[in-house]
Amino acid sequence: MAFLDIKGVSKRFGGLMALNDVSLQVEQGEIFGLMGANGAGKTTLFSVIAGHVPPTAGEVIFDGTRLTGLSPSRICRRGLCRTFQIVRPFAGLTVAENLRVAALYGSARKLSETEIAQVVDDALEAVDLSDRRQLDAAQLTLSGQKRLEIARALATGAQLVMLDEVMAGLNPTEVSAMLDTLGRLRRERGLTFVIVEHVIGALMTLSDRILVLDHGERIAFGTPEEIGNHDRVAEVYFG
Amino acid sequence: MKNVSITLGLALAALGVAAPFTGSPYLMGIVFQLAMWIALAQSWSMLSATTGYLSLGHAVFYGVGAYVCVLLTGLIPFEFALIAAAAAAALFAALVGMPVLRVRGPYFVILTYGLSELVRHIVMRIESALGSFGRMLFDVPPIEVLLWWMVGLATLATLGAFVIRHSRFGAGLAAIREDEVAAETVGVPVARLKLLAFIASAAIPGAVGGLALLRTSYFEPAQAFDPVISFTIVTMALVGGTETVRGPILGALGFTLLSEFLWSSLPQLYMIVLGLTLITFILFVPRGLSGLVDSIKGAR
Repeated sequence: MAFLDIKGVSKRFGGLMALNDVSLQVEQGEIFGLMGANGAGKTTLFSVIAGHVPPTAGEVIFDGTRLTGLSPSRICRRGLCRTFQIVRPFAGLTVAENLRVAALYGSARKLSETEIAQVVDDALEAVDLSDRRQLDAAQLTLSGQKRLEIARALATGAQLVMLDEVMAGLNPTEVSAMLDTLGRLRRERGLTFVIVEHVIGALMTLSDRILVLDHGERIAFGTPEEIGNHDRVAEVYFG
Repeated sequence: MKNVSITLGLALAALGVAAPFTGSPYLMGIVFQLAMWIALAQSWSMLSATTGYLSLGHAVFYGVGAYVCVLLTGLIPFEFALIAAAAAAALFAALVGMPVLRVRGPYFVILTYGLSELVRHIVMRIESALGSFGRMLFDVPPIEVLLWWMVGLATLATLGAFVIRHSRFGAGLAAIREDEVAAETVGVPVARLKLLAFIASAAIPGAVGGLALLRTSYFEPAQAFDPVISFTIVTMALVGGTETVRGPILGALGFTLLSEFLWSSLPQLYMIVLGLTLITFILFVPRGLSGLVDSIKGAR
């Protein structure tokens, strides 16, 4: 049984079929890449999985339980958390307070104050923000805020983290630092990631398997090499 | 700063408890007003300062409390009538909270104001259909007793606001203020917390409305649901500063004294000063008196 099992998910916005019968299985501990041009349905798929948008058809099973119909906060407490492409920090709170909220509310059970402090420290450490903990989140650079998004998802204790373009807008040095961070998180914590990325190089490097969406439908699926050699993908991407 | 705030709070509470022993009705009257506005502004802050949902309709809870209290007076002891008033206001908040809290920003401000006005007109209609044009109350408790009750409510509201801000609940509300979608995503049950904050901020104003009614011993719907009550609460809280628990106290203190000062000489001027102060503070002192105190201390 797959860790995350998406069964025939469709989403219709009025006359637009944003997702059309998409199925995929993510195994525990893997990094699963989602590719596709703008409007392919990647972010909609994230929103459906995380509970922000109800699917028109299909269902999402995570770790053996059905997520479809649950609110995003409950889904988070079950161990699945997402980040946002356009970052959404709690701007007026400090970096540490951002993570504290996530630790207070995101975990499956109630943590003690000591445990919360530990979770916050760990999350800061994981994304290299320890020295910024007392800054207001608004004062972070974009790269810092992207890291905060990840740290906040980690602080919820999520076992599966969905990253929506965490590399967009970062310079090459920052991208390579981010790749290190994600690789380390997977190795050291056994986390599972589903990532959407426009930085194709990064996606190819990181992912174990990649699914390509186009206009809401899956057009290709396989390892990074297979995707790199796929005709349809080349057509969609490079015309 | 913390010690100064605690000292101020204790001094005010002591003043409230001691005022009746002076035997001065004038002093008791002022302290009653002061405690009333602290209780109201502090309750308002439980919702609006924490979540950023600015309620411009808190008069409705005050009015519901007053109405319930006038209906129950004579039937049960006044202490129970006050508790019923608080419960009724909280219940009303629970009933309307779900739909009202679906909108935010300016829409929430307008909606809460509109709701308060709607209830005011409904109660006015009911009362006139019953052929009553104001109800007199006889046998109300003496001012000393009412004053102590009001000081108790102000204390309760202040402690409540403090506890909320420093609790897990308060951390969730702060996340909601900053970004509701992100809050929900990291596990904060947004709809439930907002509703709880709304209910918490409604209860004490219900009891305050009941007490204020017993003090005037006269109920008239247009007065009990007067939107000026809502405006005053918001102005006091904003001018005092919404970032700290002492803010609403400073705001209530400032305006109560100002109103006493102006009432004797230029009563018409009071509302004008209220409005001008609000505008000035929003434009130039967004962190309110409380923030002003901090920056003066910081500059030294």
